[in-house]
Amino acid sequence: MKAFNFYSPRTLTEALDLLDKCKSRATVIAGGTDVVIELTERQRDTDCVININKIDELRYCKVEDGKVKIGALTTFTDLENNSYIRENVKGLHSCAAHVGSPQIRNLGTIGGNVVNCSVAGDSPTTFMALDATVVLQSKTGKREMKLTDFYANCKKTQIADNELMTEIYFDAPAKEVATATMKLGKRKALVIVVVGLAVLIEKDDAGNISRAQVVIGGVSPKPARLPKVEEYLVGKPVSKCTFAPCADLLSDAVREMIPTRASMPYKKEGVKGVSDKTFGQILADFGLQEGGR
Amino acid sequence: MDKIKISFILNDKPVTVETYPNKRVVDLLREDCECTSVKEGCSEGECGACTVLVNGTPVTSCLMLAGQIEGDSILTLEGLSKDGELDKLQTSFVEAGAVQCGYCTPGMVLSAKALLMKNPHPTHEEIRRALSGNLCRCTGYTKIFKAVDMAAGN
Amino acid sequence: MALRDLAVLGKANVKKDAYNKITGEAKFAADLKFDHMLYGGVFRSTVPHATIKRFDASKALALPGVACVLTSKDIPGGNRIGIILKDEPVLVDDKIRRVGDAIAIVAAETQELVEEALELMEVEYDLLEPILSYEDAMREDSAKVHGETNLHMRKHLESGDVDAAFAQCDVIVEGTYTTNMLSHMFIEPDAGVARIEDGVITVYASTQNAHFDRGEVARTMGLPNNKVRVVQVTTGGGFGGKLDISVQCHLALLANATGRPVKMVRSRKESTDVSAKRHPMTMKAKTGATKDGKIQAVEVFMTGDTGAYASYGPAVIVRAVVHCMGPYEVPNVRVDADFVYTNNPMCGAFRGFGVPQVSVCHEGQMNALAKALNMDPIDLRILNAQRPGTVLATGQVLDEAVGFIETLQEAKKKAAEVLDTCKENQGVGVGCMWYGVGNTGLPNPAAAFVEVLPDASVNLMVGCADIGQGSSTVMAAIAAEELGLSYDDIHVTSADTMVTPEGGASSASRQTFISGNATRIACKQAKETLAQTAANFLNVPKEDLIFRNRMVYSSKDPAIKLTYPELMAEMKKWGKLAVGAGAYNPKTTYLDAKTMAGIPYEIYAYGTTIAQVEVDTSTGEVDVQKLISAHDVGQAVDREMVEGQIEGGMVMAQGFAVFEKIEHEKGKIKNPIFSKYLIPTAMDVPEIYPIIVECPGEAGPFGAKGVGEPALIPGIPAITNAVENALGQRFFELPLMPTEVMKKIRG
Repeated sequence: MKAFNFYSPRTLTEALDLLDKCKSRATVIAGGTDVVIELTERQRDTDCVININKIDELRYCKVEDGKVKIGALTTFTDLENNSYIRENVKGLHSCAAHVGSPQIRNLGTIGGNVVNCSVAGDSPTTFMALDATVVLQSKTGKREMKLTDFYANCKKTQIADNELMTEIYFDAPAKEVATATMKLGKRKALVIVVVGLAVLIEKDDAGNISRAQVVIGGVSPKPARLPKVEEYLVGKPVSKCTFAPCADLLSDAVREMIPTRASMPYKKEGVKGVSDKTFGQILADFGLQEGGR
Repeated sequence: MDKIKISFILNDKPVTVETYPNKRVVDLLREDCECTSVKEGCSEGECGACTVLVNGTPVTSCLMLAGQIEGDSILTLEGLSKDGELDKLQTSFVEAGAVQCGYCTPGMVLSAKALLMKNPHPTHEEIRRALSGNLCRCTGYTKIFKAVDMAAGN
Repeated sequence: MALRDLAVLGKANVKKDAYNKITGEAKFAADLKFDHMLYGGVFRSTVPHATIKRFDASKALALPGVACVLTSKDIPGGNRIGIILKDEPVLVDDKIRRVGDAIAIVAAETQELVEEALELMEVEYDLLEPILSYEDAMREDSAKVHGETNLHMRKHLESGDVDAAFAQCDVIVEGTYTTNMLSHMFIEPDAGVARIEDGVITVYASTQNAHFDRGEVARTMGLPNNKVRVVQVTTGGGFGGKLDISVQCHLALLANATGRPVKMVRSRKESTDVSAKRHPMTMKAKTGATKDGKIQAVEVFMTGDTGAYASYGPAVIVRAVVHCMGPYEVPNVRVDADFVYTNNPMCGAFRGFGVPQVSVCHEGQMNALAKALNMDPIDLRILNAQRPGTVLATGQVLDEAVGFIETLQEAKKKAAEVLDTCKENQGVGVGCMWYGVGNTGLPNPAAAFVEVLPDASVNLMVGCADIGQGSSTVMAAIAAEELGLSYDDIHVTSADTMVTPEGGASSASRQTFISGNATRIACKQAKETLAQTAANFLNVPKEDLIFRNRMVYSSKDPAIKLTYPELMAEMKKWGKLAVGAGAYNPKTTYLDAKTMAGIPYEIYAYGTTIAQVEVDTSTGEVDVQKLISAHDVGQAVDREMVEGQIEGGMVMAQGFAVFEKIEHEKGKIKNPIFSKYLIPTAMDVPEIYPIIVECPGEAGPFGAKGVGEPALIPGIPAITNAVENALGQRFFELPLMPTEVMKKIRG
């Protein structure tokens, strides 16, 4: 590991001050599950490391004004153990519970996962399906943007050198909303995502789909909404029959996204199985039918 | 590079270490605190050999910078036996034949310890899940599951 | 099966290393620390085939804290190492043959400085054509990796009249099977420390063969063998991957050059990049049988890539050829095998030495044959099974210690009890294996020293490295049984070349058999003096004495007895010492150069696995649910440890069959780390049902054979055959990754 100075601010204000001073020469570390590997492998030159892991004010998960608000330092384990998430946002709960290993879930934070957004990043896919908004703070102010915009038109994210992501929030799912997340890996733990799928479905009083948010991960560098699938779903009844063709739609989407990639033939087939299972869970969440595993 | 001072509880004893910040917790424990039970197997948080408990929670110490444990309570295998008496998990690992090469053992025992502290009588599925971040190449895990079962009195 | 009345063997004892390991006190190589210790590192090639145009370490040497940088010119002795052929340079002199070849080594005050120094070294290459496949290698005009030809080794085995036999067969099945390159992925990366003490270079290393290491270090340093001491420290797994030289010679060079202790610890990536891998092999097989299912002829042609250096390649090819017809009676056999040198990663020993690969072939063939004949796969195997008196393709006649049929029967019985396949995508498969214990057709002795001390405790010194498999526990149990003492009376010192005699490698499942026999012989020698003394005192013929449970008594009248402490007091009175030295070399012969006829091994172990799997046909995932594995181990020395070997072997088989594959491109490994090379986790492992079958015979210590490698092998074809059974499709290439399974399902 190369040399650097180390700071461990206790408050958000302190952290933003430091960040403002060091700007691009600073590395922010929270859980460390991505950053420490880069430092160990001497891949990252940095003058100073700012450890934000001790800023307790950024570790929360609460429902406020109809929004579910998650502090950036909330760990996957925190989310997995949160009873509100477990009961009301099944897609996010399942996502958190299947990240890496227990040790990684204990260390890894939502903020780190969203900001680093590696191809295999688990939570961005789910948060995008929840149409979440990120809160970015700097010494000079605070701004918010939809996760889709946060990832749009840039190599990594829209975060500025002097900003910290402090929170991510999304609409608290009403009774008519079901969510599900599923990923395809090569083994049962410490999985690297081959294909990930996250879905939010809202139904109206008649039992028809009024809103569909479908996001695929592991295929492009960042998770992607799939408008064609969403358009197909809206207005149709919530049923196994409605969901069945999604497998082929998703398969087509994969083929279009990565037409020449060596992994395409498998991903376009595998995503069908993932589709059936994910929508099976949506049905289960609506209490309509047993879901997949 | 400025040295930093890190104060924390190590195996129930308060310690203060002055060291360089470009060390990970695994380096701090092995080099500065003589806790060589903490093993390094992959340096990327995959194998779990470097698992220690931070405030009772298992983490891979190769993914944490030394400065990050300021004020925390750390448990390594060295701190598991009390007054020379082995922890129940340690005796059950020996009795069940769960130790072969021994390199994964410290991390494995600590992951099991964290599980039993929170959940004294885990199911088979809960044991598997709790140990899923600790790779073992020798035993096929089977006798390790048995050892945890024995320690839990299942 | 001989009835044996054993006092110590066959029970479960606390492993000799268990307490040290469970408390964290056990010191592995990376845990060692000496005053004034330096850290070492290796500057490695990034290209597969080249000569070095320019190498410049001046910037690294100018870095404060760097003690030395050494290249091939600084080697005082010879610059070629290798287990069988000396073809690998300690530091590159003539040319680079693989990605990861060692060009220079550095010692510095801290690990951090080592890394910095390595970044400061500069090299320019003149690239040569890289040879990256069997086809490349065999092309006449291709560049040569070593010398005049890329053909590393060619073997031919022939018995009977194969062509005539095939002409008479009612059924013939054919198939071409491919297995990929695999990595051991022992959890402890290679490490060691060297220092100079009293004119002796001592190397503490994570190794499977301290005595081999000693010879290699001595030759590199130009020193007599007795000026080098290699101590095997607690070793975090090997599986064959720690049989080659890793850090030992580099450490000795650096310690010698600096006069200070030097430590080297490889990163996971470095460890995977340069340690030997499992040979990828392609096996084309033809099997012919009568309509009743009796096999008449087998023909196999196999090719393998040993990579840049031979390592254990010669042992793999010979063993693969001898074993490739499987544990069956086959009167007519013809096998041809070609292994080539390439600029790919070096392949060598990995649990099973080629037998896991050929088991995929012979069991695939047996399955195909069962299907073609519409026979039950177990009945077919029993019909053709090797048994006492079977004549092997090498001409060897098997003695009574053949428990293969019993493993089939026991596994079948258990399967009826525990398997539950009611779903459409579930399947059951059988896999079998045989395994010759020890090196193939070669002398491979081991020795032991023993001393019974005045208080009836015992010092046992064996060269055999305990890498966690439990050999020290085995040796202690054998010594206790022979001497009539208890297991706890025996202290074992192992694999320290200044203390223990030669033990040979902890490989080829040979230590229980060979070091075990050596231990027993040493104990018998010590016992001779003890028995003479006891006979004189008790006034009975020494042949009538029984040593058991810390007593010596007459078989005619157990009341005529001495306790061990009494006996030792008597020994002291007469100035007698109870010491013994034993050596054992298996009764094998060299194999005929043309036909490979001869006695390749003294004894064989057998095993049968039955697997239950479920395939997710929407994603291609293979869920291995249950593995029943029955093994003829001769005599279990410690039942719990045998089970531990079987369970560990079965999970490694699962990895081989469904997860693992080294991906390499232009000679460079793309997945050298645990996040990219997937081994089974606690969530993946199936229910495992180990079954111990005991067919002892007279050759092994109290009839014991070996189980380390046999524990792995049959699981691989069993899982493969179970997937075939689930999907009704044949698979010819491992691993059965979801991508491959999906291809078969969806076309």
